[in-house]
Amino acid sequence: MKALILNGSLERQTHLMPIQDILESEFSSAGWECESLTLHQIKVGTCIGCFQCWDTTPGICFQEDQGREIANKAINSDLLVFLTPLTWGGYSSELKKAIERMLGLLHPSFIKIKDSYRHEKRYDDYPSVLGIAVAEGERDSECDQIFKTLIERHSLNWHAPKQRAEVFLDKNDDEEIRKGIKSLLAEFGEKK
Amino acid sequence: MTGPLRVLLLVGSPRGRRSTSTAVVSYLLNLMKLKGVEPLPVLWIGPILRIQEKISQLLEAVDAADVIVLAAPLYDDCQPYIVIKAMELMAVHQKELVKAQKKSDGKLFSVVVNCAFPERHHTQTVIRIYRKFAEDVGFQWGGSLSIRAGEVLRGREGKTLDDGGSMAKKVKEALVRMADSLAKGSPSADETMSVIPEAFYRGPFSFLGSFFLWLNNRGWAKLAKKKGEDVNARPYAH
Repeated sequence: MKALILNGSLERQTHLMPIQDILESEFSSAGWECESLTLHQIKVGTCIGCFQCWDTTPGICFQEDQGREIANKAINSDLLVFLTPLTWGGYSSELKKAIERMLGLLHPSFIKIKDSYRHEKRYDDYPSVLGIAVAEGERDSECDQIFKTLIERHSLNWHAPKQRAEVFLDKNDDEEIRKGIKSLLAEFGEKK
Repeated sequence: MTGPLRVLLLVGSPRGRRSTSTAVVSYLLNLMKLKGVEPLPVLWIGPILRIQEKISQLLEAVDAADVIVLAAPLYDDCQPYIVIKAMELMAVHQKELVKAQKKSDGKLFSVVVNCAFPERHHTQTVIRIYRKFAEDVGFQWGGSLSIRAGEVLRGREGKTLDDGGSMAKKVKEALVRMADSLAKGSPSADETMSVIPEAFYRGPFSFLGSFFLWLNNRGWAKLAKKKGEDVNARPYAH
C-alpha cells in the first residue's frame, strides 16, 4: 500500500510539518510505503488550461517538469493525502498548483453517473483521497464544512474509491492529532 | 466616497485573454462604462503573478477600487491556482493595512464563476469559499453569477458573448442585472444558470443532452486522432 502526501504549505509556513511527521510515522507503523512532497520546494509550472494533456499528448502535460512526476506518483498510489493550510475552507495555492497538473489523469470525455456529469476515468483505479487541513487560531465550523464538502466533491470527480477529510487546529497537541490521524487511517487500511 | 464609483475587473482564467472569463469581463466592462462608473484597467491575474512589480499594481488597484469583480473558471471544484494565489496575496495585504490602520472596509467583492458541467451543485462550494474570503479580508459580499455548461460559449476560441447568440442571452441578461446593482454600489444577487437548457440534461428532452455528450466525447477522440494520438492512452500505467 502506497501513500503520497502532498504538503501544500506556503513558503515559511511550518505548522503543517508536525502533522506530516505524524502521518509518516503512522503510515510506517501500519506497514504502508509513504512518500511526502513539500510542494513549495518543488518547481512546478502552472496549468494554463490548454487541454493538450487531452488532445495532443493524452494523459501527459506538455510542461516537462516535476508536475509530470507528481501526476505519475499520484495515479500509482493507493492513497493521496492533500495536506493544506485551511484557506477559506479550500486548498492553499501550492497544493492547488500541483492538483491542476493532474488533469490529464482524467479522460476528456464526460460521463453521467447518478444524474451528474463527470470526466470519465483514464485509468482503471484511482487513489483514495484523505484531505487534512490545518486551521490557525479558533475553529470556524463553516470553513471546516466547506473543506469536507470540497474533498467529497473533488473525490467524486476523481473517482476515488474512498474519501475522508478532517480539519485540525494548529494549537492541537500532538497526541490529539495522532489520535485523529490513527482513526482516519484505519478507514483506509484495506486494499481498495 | 467622492466621485464616480471605481470598478476593478479581474480575469482569473489561466487561459488568459482567450477565455470565457475574458468574454464576461469585456461585456461587463462595456455595461459599467454605460452606467457612468470609472472602470480601472482590467487585470489578468496569470501574467501579473509572474512579476513582483505587477503584483504591487494589483494590490494598489484593489486598494483603489470600490467594487471588485472577479471572473474565473471552476477547476477541480474550486478556484484555479492563480486565483488562490492572488487571494492569498490580497489577504496578506489587507492584514497589513489593518495593522497600519489604513484599512477601508466594505468594498464590494463579486464573482462570476464559469463551470463546464451543467449541474448547479458544482459551483456551490467555490461560492462559499469566495464569500469566506470576502468576510475574512473585510470586503462586502457583492453577489455572484455561476455560469454552468460555459464551455458552450467557446471563450477559449476567443469568442465574445455577442458571438454566442441565443446561447449567451441569459448570461448577458444576468450580467446586466449584476452591473445595475454594482454600479449603484449595492450587492447583486447570487444567481446561477446553465447555458444549455436544463431540460436537455434533466427531464423529457434529456436525450438531447445525451446526444451533445456523445458529440463532445467523439470530438475529443477525433481531435487526438488527428494529431496521431490515442485519446485513451495510459502513459503512467504500471
